[in-house]
Amino acid sequence: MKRWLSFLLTGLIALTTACSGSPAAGGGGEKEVLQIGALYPLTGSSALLGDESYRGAELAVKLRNQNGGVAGGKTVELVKTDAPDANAAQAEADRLITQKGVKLILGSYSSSISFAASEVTERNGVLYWELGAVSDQVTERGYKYVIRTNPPASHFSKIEIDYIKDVVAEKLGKNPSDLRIGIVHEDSLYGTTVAEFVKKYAEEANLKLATIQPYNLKSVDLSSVVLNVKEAKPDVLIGVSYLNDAILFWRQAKELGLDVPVFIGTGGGHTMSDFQKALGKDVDGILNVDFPQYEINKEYTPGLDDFVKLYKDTYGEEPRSGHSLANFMGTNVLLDVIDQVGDIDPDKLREAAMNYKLEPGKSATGWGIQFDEKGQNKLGQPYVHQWIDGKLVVVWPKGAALKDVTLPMPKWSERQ
Amino acid sequence: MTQFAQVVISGILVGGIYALISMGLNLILGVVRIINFAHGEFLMIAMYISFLLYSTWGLDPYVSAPIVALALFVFGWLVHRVIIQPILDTSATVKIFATLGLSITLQNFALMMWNADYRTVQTAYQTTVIRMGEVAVSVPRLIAFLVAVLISLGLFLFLKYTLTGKAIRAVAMEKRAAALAGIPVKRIYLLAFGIGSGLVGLAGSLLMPIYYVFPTVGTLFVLTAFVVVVLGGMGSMFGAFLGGLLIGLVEALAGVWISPGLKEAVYFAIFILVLLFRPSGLFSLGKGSEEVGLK
Amino acid sequence: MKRAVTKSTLLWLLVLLIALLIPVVVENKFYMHTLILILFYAAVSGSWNILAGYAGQLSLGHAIFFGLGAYTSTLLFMNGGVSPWIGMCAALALCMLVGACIGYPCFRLKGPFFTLATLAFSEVIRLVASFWKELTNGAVGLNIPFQAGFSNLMFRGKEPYYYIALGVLCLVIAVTYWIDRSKMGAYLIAIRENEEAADALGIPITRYKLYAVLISSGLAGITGVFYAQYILFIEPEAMFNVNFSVQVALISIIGGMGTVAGPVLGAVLMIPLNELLRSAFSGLNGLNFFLYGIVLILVVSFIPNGILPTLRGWLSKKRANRHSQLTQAIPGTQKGGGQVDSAN
Repeated sequence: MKRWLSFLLTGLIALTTACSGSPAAGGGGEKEVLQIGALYPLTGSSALLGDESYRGAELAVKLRNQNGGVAGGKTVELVKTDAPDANAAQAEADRLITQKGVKLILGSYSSSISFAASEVTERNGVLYWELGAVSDQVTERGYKYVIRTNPPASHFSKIEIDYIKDVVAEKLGKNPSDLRIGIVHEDSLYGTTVAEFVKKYAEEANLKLATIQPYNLKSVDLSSVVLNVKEAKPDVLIGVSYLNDAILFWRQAKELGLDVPVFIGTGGGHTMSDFQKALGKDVDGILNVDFPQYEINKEYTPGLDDFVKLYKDTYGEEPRSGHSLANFMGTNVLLDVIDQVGDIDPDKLREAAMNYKLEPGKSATGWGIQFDEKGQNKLGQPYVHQWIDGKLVVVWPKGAALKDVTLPMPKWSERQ
Repeated sequence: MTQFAQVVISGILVGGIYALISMGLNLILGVVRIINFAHGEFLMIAMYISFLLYSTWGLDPYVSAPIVALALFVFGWLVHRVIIQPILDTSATVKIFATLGLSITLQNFALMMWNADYRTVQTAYQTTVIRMGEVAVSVPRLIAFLVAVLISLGLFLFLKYTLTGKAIRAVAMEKRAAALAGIPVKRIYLLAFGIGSGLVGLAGSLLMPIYYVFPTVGTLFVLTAFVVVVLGGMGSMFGAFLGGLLIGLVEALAGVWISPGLKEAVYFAIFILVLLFRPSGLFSLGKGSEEVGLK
Repeated sequence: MKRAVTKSTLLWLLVLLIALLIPVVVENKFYMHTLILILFYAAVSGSWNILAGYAGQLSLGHAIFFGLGAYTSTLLFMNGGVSPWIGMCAALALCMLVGACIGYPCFRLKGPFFTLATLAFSEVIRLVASFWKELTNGAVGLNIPFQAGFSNLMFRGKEPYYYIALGVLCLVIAVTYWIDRSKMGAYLIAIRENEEAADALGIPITRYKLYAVLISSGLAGITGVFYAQYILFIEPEAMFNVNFSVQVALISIIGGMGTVAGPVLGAVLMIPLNELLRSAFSGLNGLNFFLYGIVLILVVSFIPNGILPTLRGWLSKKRANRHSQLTQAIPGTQKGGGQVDSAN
């Protein structure tokens, strides 16, 4: 028995040493290498989107190095590290800073990881370049060394309410103040944050809130949520979900015959290609407010096609969501800034970033860049998408839109 | 009224799924007296096998169910032989943490093998429903429910009337006496662990058309399965079945009457109350529970 | 016996001295962070050890008290401007109260059922904390505004945190040591080994279990306050996390449950191992935890009592062997040799 186990263990160790030998180690000798820490949740329950986000940053760096690097031929190297929770995020931030001597860390998909890691970077005078975490608090804390390229959660909610007022009401032939809004959201950090803002903006815009249904992310039955919504009969339902609950909600909504004229998802699960794979045709008609996806007006998003091609060549599959694209775009901005400064110096990088300007419609996501004094990019915004024929197509705002929106969604009984 | 009927039906159907997942755990806990914290990961492995059979050979999850069950039987057998058997005579702590270690290992094994993508199977019947007036009954859930009924019935008959079944029950009730009567306790343990795992395999196959599989999917189900088993009463197949239904119903009703955000909290609270006031479970015969420290 | 006490006291003092001097030598922040984590985990695990290791009540809900402590001091600080030092006292009191409320009814459950009940309690509290937004700010969590200063228990550098963590750990060790040497320790161990027998001997079982849970939960609450002030962000998902409870238990189990030094040894081994695996195997997602799981299975299977007792047993056996070789020639002295270290 013991011998058998020790044999197994030896085998494993051999295997892991073989796997961990990184291919990047044998790079060119004389070229100067600039190291950037990359902090993402790569194991645990956030692993899927954490990994998807990391791929975007990885590709941006890869592309830049292929094209001659930054600041006159310097190579950029990402030091990738796994931070599945807040505690690990602090440990890893400390490790990157002190062991690897990193002066700049990018990341991080999850807001709680971003909070924890930026506490460390701030106290060490290291720049934290956030590419995907959405909680407003990340930049609202007023930290000097935090910069964020992606729009925060409040923008998602704002866009949703604006869109309902400006577009949905007209399409449904109703007065905005007569519209009944419902919210279903998972009750972790992400869902709660977005839902709170939706509530706030809806009240400001005089929209009626018909129902708010929070549920636990780990729920394996959402029939009560579906039935509560059915009872409340909202005109527009806003959903904030991760992937498993989004799939479950829609399957149960179909089974239990929940018909809503308009459904607006808020990124997360409603964006993923796995969502479409799981539900097939049933996704068509669902609206989704999120980072830009791939069916978009390409004139407005130069570089998008190159990204998708590079993605496919590198990973052998289509991008699994727009998280990689948003991270790609933000990393590109960072690399531009490094290119200008010539070195990784947090204070100089911050200053250069503050002066960095980009109009909307000139980047792979179509986002512009202008940072406010808190480090938040003001010209990045989520777009409204609609699932049309199994593809997530941008329908709003006008510049980025590829197709026109079709509303209301057909009832289940009227679908084929 | 129709809404109430719908809530009850939905609750019972989810209860069927809980019952299905808990049967294997119940057998293992009742006979081998070990709380298998890797139970959720066994389910995850079963779902991956079902998915792989679907994606490589296009086998429908219902068709491949026997293969998956067999694979999990073998897997359970191996796990018991290699990991559980050597620690059977140690403290509860060791058993709990060895299975927890197994749970971490399997979760991350899946992450390495298949990465964190959510895998689903597409079947023609995945969202088909039978309508009875206003009330909808989901077909895959109904199938899972009926299979749960059949399994509990089958297991009951197997344990009651076959020689092996009687031996398993004897071991579950009084290990030492069973050994004295010439029953090979070790082999019965292996068999019970194998059968329990095989049942998880079956559950995984039936869940595939309803849910999805990803490395940490087991964590969604495992605590509920514990609750169901303890609530129903260890070793009692009908107990596990009724326990599952009860939890499903409580969850659905709490979701409508209180709030969906608290429905899990409600059934955990009920679980605690039952544990405190009737620790041998609602439907248990109470036999053999002394051995694990229950009285 | 008396000489053994002084010897171990000396050893403890030596370790303490080294621990006090470490920050003078180590400047690297990552090492400091790891050291702080070691001290912190040793302290939490030490508090768990009192309930689980000594009294034999294997709880997997220790995060309840840890999280409760963190939330108590943080809410007092953010809403009332109360210094976390005072918050620590409030956390201590509240955690003891809640510990008693959960522990008392659960004590009639034995073995795995006690464990399952604590797990369920932990889940209920996590769900309620997420749901009760008015009080806890729900899942959005609480960001503690960083205002460095001793009375706020927030510091720019790592050293103050290190010394506070060391102080908390010393408190936990001192309490454990006291229990270990007192009548209470003997009672608790008697309860752990055989409850019926302990009852027959007239030990008031429930009362002593209650003492254990009071001490254990109170100390855990203090560690929670420290953690909140160190990380500066708390959320129900992270604070009432079952995995955290598991990790805490694991440290004691690997080091040696029911010993004073076990949790410390466990933390010294496990925390760096975790970090090491993470940094060494970043190439393939999940490989680090895969190996961690395997190490866990192997350790609990092959050294079920934990490293410290196994080591001691091994040493005393060796000594006894040598002793018996020496004394073989002199009949009649053999018996005494084997009992030297039976106190373990």
